[in-house]
Amino acid sequence: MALARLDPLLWLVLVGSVGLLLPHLPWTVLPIVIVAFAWRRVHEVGGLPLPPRWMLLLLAAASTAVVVLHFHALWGRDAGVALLVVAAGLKLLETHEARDQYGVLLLAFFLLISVLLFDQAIVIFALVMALFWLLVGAWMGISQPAGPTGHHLGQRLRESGRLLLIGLPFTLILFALFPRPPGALWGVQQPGGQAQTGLSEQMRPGQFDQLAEDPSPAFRVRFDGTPVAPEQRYWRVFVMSGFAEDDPESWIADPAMGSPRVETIDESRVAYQVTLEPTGARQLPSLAAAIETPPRSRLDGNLVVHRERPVDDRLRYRLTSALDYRLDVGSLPRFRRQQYLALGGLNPLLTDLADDWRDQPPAARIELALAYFRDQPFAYTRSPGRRDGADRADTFLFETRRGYCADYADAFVRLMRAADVPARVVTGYQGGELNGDYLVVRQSDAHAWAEVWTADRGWQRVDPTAAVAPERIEEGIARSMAGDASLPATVRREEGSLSRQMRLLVEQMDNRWNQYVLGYDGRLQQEWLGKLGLAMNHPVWPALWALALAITAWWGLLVLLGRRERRRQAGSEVEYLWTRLQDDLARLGIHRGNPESERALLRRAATTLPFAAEDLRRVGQLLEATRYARSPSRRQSALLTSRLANLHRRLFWRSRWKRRRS
Amino acid sequence: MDATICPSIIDRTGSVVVGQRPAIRKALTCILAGGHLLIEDLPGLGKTTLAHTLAQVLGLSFKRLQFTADMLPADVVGSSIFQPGGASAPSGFRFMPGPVFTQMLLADEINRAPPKVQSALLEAMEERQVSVDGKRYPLPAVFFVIATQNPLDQAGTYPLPESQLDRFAMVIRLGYPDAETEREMLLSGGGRAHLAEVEPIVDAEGLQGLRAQAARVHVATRIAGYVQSLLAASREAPEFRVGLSPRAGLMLLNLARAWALIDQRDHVLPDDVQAVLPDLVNHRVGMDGHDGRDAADLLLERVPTP
Repeated sequence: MALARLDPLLWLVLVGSVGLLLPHLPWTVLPIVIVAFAWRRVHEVGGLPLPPRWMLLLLAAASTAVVVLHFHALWGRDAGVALLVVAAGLKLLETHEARDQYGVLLLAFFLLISVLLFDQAIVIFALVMALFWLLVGAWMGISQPAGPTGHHLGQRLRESGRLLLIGLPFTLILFALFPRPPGALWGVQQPGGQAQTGLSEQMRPGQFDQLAEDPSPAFRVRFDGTPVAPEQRYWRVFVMSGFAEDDPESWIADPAMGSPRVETIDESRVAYQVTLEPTGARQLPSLAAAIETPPRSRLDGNLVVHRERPVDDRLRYRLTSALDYRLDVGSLPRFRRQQYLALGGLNPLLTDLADDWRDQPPAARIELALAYFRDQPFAYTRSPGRRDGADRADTFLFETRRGYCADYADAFVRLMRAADVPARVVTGYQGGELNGDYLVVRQSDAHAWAEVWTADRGWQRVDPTAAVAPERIEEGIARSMAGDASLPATVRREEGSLSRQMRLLVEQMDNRWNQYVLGYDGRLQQEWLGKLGLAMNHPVWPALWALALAITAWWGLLVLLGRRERRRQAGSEVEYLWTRLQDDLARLGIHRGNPESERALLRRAATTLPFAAEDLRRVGQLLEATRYARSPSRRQSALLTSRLANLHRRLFWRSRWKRRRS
Repeated sequence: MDATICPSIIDRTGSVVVGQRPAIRKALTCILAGGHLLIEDLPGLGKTTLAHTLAQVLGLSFKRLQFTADMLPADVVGSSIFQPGGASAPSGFRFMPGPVFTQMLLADEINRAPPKVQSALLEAMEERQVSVDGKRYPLPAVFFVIATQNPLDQAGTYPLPESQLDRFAMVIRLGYPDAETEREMLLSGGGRAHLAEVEPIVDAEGLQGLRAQAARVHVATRIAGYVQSLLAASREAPEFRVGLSPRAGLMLLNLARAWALIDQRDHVLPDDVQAVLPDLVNHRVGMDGHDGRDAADLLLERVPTP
């Protein structure tokens, strides 16, 4: 049957899913896809003939080449999805008959699912589900082009919605109970994927300014007890003591070495759970001095938690930290000391200033430096003006006096080193916003501070930013920057505004979604089952599994044997299917009395079940033709088999529901 | 000749014999199946009109024979009469064909004639030929009898024995027309007024063609099995005085074929068998009313429909 127009629902799903994939497609394939879609549309509306076969082959070869050139591969997520999109577009151009739509339909299913490979946010998921609903409706329309459901979109959508609803409980049960491997189900690792935002192992000038504009969550924290006070929320990620080889103005993170020489005060312990967005790095944010680290990770000598593998998926881990601790008290190894005293540049003015403090005890030098920041007219701002070139710290300290956290940390550490106090830069996050029962830490909360070493106290945290802008530490980046109109409103967080409340609500929903749906992994599953008293190691499980398996196998065997027996009794496939259909009709209250012929029965059924009237009529015709006509064709008999099976499927649940309701 | 003509035959006949479409269809079925028809009903219900109109529409020669108590067989089949010789032919007995030599014969009130006359007609119906003085005279290729009989409780009737009733493919009743049709008929003065204007649709040759087509309608093994089960059941039914004969079975199949042909089908369905069964079976098995159901109902209930 020649196809005049593609099923409208199929169109919708194609356009919708390609639209959702658009941000992830290379621009090079876009023209091909747009041309293909437009050609199809013009063909349907204006009668433009579809391209000949050789042109399709050419297009296919060209687009494959484009994809290969762009990705240097045909495999992998991005290249695969690009190919899939191109294939869908080209398939549209060779869809001539109604049954060709099945190819498009199949591609549409793949396209739709591939959207979730890129993004599993709740909004995207909802959109994909809506498109899925339309797609099932399209499927119904395509498989029954002449039937009453072939044309009425409303009826098809109702029917498809009904099917999805019927499937929902099974989906939920399988989702909750099906055994899962540890790790997020949707984690699709992309080696060398898109650039990660967030902190990096190198602290470059200006890096933090950009982060301040990024309101996306970096991680979320749930404390076991009350959340720690704002001024304690220093989330440690990188410890930096050296300079980049190519740029003495950039700090670079220390490699993970040794294990900490640390004393912790037990009373200051806090336990918390962090859900970390993918960073692509190995370091896990932690508070103060971590004591118990999550599995497959370790604590290095700088109290940084390192994981064995980079965090490419959203990761949840538990930590216990001591807020009160002493690290490396007493002495530092000589080479260490030298490392913590190295000056990355010349900065003559800075060195002069620090030289004046050398005769004071170390603790006093720290105080003097902080006092310098406090007393001079320093400003805390994201737009410090010029800060490139050599002797950047001098420019900042003595000329501009305007800077962001990184500028203060950088200058402070250099000052300390010049004053012969071992010091280093720590980057991470500071603060976070309480939302319900958890704390959201955003990229805009990224922060840099300093650690200085004294023999009696070991490493201690000193935050020069706090000396300049104490509100940054106590109330967070939002309040301290509320007047900065160049920041997005999402970062400024105007107190009490409706949009902020809405945003927090959405953020909470997003968190739940991440925690309980996307993050529902083997561990969480066990946790939940454990709460129900059915932990996986509970001795009842093997027995339950065995029982379930046995029942399923037994039931399946019975069904199979019963079916075979009924088929044997019926004599042929058609007879069996016909008896089964008669059973369905009987369940719907259409019993066949004896003198009634099959034709009369089907006519009666057609008046009672108008939605299936057309199918019943066709079945009647075919049944008569195969049974009573002079030379029934094999094709008719095959057609009858499929029609009977179809009709059975259509009536099966309806008849079962009806029976239960009556 | 195409089977699509059948509905127009029924339509045109129905325009004269108003309100009797089912009976017209049954009559046509009988003709196509090569059987004869007995109409059993009160006088004045349109039996004659039906027969006459059908003959006219089918383009057949038509004769009407009113049976009476004093009839002789020769009044039906004809007789040899001495003819004095002349210039053209020598003298001798010459056969004068009776009214039976026609394509459609209306044998009115057949049960008023004595049995001898009845059997003469029935022989002609069965053999499709007449023997007089040892010589056989064939009847026309298309020979169809519509006999009528008054209900048996009327005075002066000789009931047809069952063996002879078996010769009729169907025995039908016309019944009274419904109120609407009857009102219209009263106003228009009855269909018979238009009888002369009716144009034939087919001729004897065309009818032969249709008959041949009906004979070719396919009967699946399933249908043959169904018919056989019906026959067997009729023989086992305690309510019946006689079972159905194999000849009745053949006739049943032929009627079903003709019924299917009128529906423009080239194969028989169980529905066709069921449609023609009552008029075939009820007069053959000799069963009186039974809880308001007739013999056919009983049979259909007992035999599973395929």
